[in-house]
Amino acid sequence: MARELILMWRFKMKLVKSNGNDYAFGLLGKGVSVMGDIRFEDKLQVEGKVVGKVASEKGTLIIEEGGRVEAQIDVGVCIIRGSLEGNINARSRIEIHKTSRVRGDMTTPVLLVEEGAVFNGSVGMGQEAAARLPEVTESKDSEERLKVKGA
Amino acid sequence: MEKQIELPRGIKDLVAALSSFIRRKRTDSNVESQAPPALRVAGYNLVLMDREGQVVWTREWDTGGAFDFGPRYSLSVFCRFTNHSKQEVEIAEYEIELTGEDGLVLNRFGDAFGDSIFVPPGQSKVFSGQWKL
Repeated sequence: MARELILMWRFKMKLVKSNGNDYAFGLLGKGVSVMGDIRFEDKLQVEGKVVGKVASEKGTLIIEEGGRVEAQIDVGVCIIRGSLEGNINARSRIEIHKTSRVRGDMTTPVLLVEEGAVFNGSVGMGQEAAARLPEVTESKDSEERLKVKGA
Repeated sequence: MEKQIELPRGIKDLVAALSSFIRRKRTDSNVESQAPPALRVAGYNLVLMDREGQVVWTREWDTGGAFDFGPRYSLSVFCRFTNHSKQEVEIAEYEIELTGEDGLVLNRFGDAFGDSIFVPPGQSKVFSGQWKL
């Protein structure tokens, strides 16, 4: 049964991916449950249930209203409208909307919370975000400028 | 001669409740129309200054795609500064600027330290900003 569901999910992923461009969008629809590790590239929308781990280097995970995730999450952006139990590390941003129920710790540089959202856990800034700062003394990055007196 | 019709008490109560509901709705919609418009945020900058107000360090980040920050939301931003230079860096105040898709500053959060803080070489400090429209 679980295998069938995974196959169905893969089929749906493939279907959504064939949209003519390289943008990979995955949909885990209502009534679909997945247990295990999920890796994705650009965008994954969860309307069903996920138990395990969800990871993506820069991608966006969207947990829709009615969607349930019990997982360790390590992504670029996490947008939550459903239920989540587990810790999240988001390199760019986390959004918690009013229909969300979240239990777990978060590490993110940007946190957006809507009135009415239920969140039980702590928020901190992850090491990943800190690592995005290049060496100042050797940096040629025009975005970052350090002026030290007397230097 | 005008004749007044006496409504049954249940209907009177219903009419009163309905008119009160309509009044409340009107007030709510007025409040909503006065609410500030949502900001479309696409990035943020950290600006560190010394006690003379001179900018000692600045950097910009993107938010991983633009998002709407509206009146019913609260927004927290955390920025980490790591001193990779060989000298101590003095910081007396800082600003975090929210920027739009065009890079223009939409809103600012600023804070100052009573006494300057000094970040030794190799050390980090996290600066945070909170917004609610």
